[in-house]
Amino acid sequence: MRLSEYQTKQIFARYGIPMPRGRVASSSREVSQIAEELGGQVVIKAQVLVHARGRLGGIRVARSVYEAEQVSMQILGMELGGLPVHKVLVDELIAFADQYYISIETDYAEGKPKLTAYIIVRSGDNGNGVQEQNRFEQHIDPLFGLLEYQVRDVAIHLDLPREHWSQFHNAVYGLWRVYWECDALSTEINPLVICDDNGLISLDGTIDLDDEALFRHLELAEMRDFTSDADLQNEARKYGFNLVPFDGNIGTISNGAGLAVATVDAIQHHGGSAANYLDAGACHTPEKVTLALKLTMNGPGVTTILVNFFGGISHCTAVAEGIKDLLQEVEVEIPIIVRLTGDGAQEAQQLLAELPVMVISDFSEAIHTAIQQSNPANGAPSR
Amino acid sequence: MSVFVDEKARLIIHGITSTEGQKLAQKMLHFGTDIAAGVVPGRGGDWVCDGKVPVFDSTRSAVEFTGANTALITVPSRFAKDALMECASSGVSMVICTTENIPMKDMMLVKQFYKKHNVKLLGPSSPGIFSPEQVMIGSFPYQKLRKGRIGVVSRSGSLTYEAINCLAVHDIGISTCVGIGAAPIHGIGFIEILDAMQMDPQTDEIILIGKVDSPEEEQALRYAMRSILKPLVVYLYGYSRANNIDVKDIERIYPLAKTFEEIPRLLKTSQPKK
Repeated sequence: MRLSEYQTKQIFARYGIPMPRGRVASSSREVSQIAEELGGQVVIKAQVLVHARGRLGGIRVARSVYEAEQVSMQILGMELGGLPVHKVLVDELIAFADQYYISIETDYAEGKPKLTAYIIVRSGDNGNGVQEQNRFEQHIDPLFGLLEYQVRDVAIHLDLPREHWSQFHNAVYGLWRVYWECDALSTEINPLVICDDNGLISLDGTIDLDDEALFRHLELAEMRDFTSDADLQNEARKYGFNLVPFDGNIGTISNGAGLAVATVDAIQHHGGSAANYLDAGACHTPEKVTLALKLTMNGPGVTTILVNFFGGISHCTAVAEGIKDLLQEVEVEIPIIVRLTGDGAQEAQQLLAELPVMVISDFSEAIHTAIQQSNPANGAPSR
Repeated sequence: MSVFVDEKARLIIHGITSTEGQKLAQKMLHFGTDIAAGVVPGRGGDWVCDGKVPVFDSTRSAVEFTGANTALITVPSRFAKDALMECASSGVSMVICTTENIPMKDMMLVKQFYKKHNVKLLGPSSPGIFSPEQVMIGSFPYQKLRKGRIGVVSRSGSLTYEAINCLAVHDIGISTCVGIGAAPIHGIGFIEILDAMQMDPQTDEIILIGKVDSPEEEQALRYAMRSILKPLVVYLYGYSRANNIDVKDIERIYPLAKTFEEIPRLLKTSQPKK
């Protein structure tokens, strides 16, 4: 779960990472008030989870309170990368020269956190292009955490003037604590700058939290920005499903990430087009199956549903009962193709025999049938 | 023969009293797996599975009393770190974990812990390990499958079943089937299993099921090209939505299946029935 910049700032502040003064606002009146408190010269930044906000016009400098109000009127309500801007961060304008990049992220292959740092821009260097040669990368032992000498090594590598070492240590060590104590998958300061008044400041940052660890960070879990995902995805998450929408017309439901992906692969490979990928995980009860079906059915553009389950931990009869419950509850106008195999498949097929669904036990036959049913030329309802 | 575990495996199941634990235990008992004990803190002294399996409060006492040498963990994700560490320090030499969605930080610590205790870990999110007529730890549709000479190694649990199913339809037997588990940070990986299958005299050919655009698969296949002499059939899921899929290198050396029904035809050492 990615956090917005203003949320990241709140957390960074708790861990002692130095940052510009400023606050988040959702109206231009608030913006002008904050700008006045900060002395007029401010940066106004759209709070949406898209990349390259600056290039898209989501980050603007204002030199006066009046300009801040005008600029914020333009940014609030605009769309960036398809997402509406409801909030802006108003920060004091910082004059700086040198810029550094610092991150801590999980290296999955090693099973360890990795610290990365490089110089983005330094006064005296002409232009960019220095970063790649200057990249510092080192693993952190999860048993011992980030060690002081490692931070010093970074400072030496970046050729950071000694007068900044102590502040640098606080910033990098703070970043480590954010990563470790909040169960982040990655967190970065980008950029960390040396300001003209000679202090270090983190101008922007990101935090990506581990969804699976949110149960021990209830306060952080509440920070989720629901506008950055499709409604369908947010709804699916509530039930513990993993759903990814596509632009096709065959809605798919499977148990297990591999099978869900392979189902989409097979549909595309044989010339069909999937509307989504839904991994329902282990389904012990019919209720979960019914919910997954409802979500998929109501997805945009869905004209056919393909349920592809391999019974093991999820028993096929639970799937069959879930389908039965759905058909009793609502009228379904689109074709449902059900492929069940593995534990309980025979009982499940008997349960489904009387129902208006197509039951198929072979994987590729089910795929072919779904594609055929979804093709408008074969009488599929177009939506 | 099998790799990593054999019929000498004497098993304890951590989390045996849950719905999932019971299901796994029943299935394995039916197959004939030697289940020595269950572990559930607070339930020590109970007997489960129709009075066949004793439950202990701790893995240590279960191992002491029963002489178990292998552990299967199937506990909810928030308790997994503790269960994993408990098993690693209890005297068993191999731990298989089916639990999904364990926090990444927990797995980083677990991985270091296993290194320190020199215990092998398969998973998490692993379906287990299976050699027909020999040993089954975890859950597999074993009724379908006969003993044979094909090794299967897979990242995905559900696709492990799918592969087995497909081989069974064509009456092709397997030597060992191992699921490494879909968790990003996990124990035994593809390379270790490829090596074991290379050494296994009962395995003639290997089916590798992995994810596209994944560094671990890429590294394993590059390793296989250099060091694995047995033929390999590869299936990489996610290919239809991959961004910059570059499989030309792989395709030049190994047959790359696009669907499961293609796999039996691509095998060199076994012929499909029809």
